[in-house]
Amino acid sequence: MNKAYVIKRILYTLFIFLIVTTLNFFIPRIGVDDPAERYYPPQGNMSDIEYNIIKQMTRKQYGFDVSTWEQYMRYLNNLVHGDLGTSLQAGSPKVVDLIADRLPWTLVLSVSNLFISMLFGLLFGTYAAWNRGKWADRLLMNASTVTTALPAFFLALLFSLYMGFEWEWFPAYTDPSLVSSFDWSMEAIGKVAQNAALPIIAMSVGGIVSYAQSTRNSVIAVSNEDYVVTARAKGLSTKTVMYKHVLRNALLPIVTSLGMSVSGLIGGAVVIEQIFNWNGMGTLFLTANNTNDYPLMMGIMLFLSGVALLGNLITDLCYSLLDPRVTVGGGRR
Amino acid sequence: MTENKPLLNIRNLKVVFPSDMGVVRAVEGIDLSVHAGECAAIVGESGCGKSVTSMAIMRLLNSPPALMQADEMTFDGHDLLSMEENELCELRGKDICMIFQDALTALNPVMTIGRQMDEIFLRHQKMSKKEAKKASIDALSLVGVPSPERRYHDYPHQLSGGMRQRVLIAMAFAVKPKLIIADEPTTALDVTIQAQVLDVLKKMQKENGTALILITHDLSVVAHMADTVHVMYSGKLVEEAPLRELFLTPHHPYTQGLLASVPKLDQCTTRFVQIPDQVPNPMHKPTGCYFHPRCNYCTAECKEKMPVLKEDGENRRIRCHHPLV
Repeated sequence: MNKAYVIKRILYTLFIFLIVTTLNFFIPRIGVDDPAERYYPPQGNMSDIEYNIIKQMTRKQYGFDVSTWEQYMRYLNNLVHGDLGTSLQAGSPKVVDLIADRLPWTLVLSVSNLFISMLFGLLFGTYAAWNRGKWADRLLMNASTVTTALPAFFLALLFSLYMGFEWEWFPAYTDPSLVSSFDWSMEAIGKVAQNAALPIIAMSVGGIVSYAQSTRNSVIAVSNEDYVVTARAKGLSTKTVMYKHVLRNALLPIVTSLGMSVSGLIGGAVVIEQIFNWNGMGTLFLTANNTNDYPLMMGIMLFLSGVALLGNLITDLCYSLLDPRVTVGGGRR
Repeated sequence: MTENKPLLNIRNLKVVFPSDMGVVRAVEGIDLSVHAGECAAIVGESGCGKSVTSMAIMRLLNSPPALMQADEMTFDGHDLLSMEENELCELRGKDICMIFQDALTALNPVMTIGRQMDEIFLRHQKMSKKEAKKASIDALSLVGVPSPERRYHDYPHQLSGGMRQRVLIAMAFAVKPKLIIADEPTTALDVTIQAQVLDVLKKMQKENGTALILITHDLSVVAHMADTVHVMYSGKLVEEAPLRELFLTPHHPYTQGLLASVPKLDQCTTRFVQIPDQVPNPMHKPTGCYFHPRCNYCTAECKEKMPVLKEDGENRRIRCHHPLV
């Protein structure tokens, strides 16, 4: 890989992240005279004097007593030191700690989902492309119509209803003590797997089908390329042509969609987490939203943007490993 | 050279593409024999079935959609029609090779040209990787690629168009095949590079005694390379003759039209001479002689009856009711 290209991509990503932090800082301040009012809306039985005192205290506590520029500088400084601010929840926990607590639980769902979707999607899509028009291909086509039309949460509800309540294959509703009682014992891990099964299945059905669909289309498109005919004209067997010439080229667009899914790893499970009462980032974000916990919302937003940018960076770098045209550019003549 | 037994012998080759809107009859009964060391040109406008013919000879047409049929199709004692896919793989790239029109799309963009060349040696000569690399570099230098050791590690997009075409030629001649099918090998190149590439092609052909089927619509390329010329029109052969005879005295009105449409440097003309109208839609071909709607010599007979391909003097055949003499 070309060193200059890597450095360029990293600098570019950092630059975008700086813009994101700026937006993240300023957008909540647009149209608000006093952020303290937003944090603590006036209560009915409060006198103006009392409320003013509360506002003053809030301003000082959350650092609104200095100029906006100074606030921004302080914000950036905190960011560099990994401080995303303090939540308005009882006990004033750090936003970073809240995210760190929930992140692993969301990753359990989303990473398994991504892995399963990718693996089965690629296998099934390739199989369908090689057997174009046969049963697997037709099944895939029909399945994609169904899963595109049905949102994931609807499938999740169906699974919860049948596999959970009706047939009792898996817990339909996550055990609330799951998080607090987790201690890395085999038993606890098994319990997590059992509880995670339904949400993962519900998430990955759509993923498998959409990966399979794009793999299939990509493989078929590449199979019609001239260089595949060249490879066949060399006398290479159908298998060799497929593995060495078709698949590598067909996977390029799949890598892009993989990078895109990295950004969805954390924010993508909000609804599913709700349905199965899973204690992850999605639930955390929803709580923040429902309780007007602005520092927490801002922190989560920034974290999500950062992960999305990281996903894009990884995609770019992977792409340049897979496709020599990306780094070498025009090349020497 | 064995004059009487051709290397490639095709009789009555037909290729059709059935589709929802109708049947496209791309090739309608082509006879073609090519002797060892000979260069046979197949000439015709776009869409006349030239490329489909070449793909059919290699048995590279995907079926479905293509359906092919022939009374006879033999190559060097092998019956191409009855061969299994694995036998064909043995043959392709070793005894019959192909050079494609657009060298950029014909090379895999994510593989170095070296590795793409190695594949041929690894496949057909059971070489080790090291030997294959050496053979590839030798093959590259034979076709005049400068500093082949460095080019070996390049990707297709790092080479110029002419260089890429040389790479394709090197790949085709790599294991000294008996027959090479070159499908418009110079169409994607500009004229000066064209001449260089043709020279390389001709040199390689003469040195190796390879038979060459040259598919083109460019008559200057034909004049430069071919021994015999087969003119195709809308899926059928309309005239075939040795190069000189065909160029000096074309007997078919279509051939005459093709030759007349080549711009001449010594004549001042304001307009190019052209054959009026277009190649017929392969789904709705005209009745009678396919060329009659565009022919200046058309008669009532031409509109009703397809002429047969008949002998026309020594080594010549023509499909016309009223050959020009």
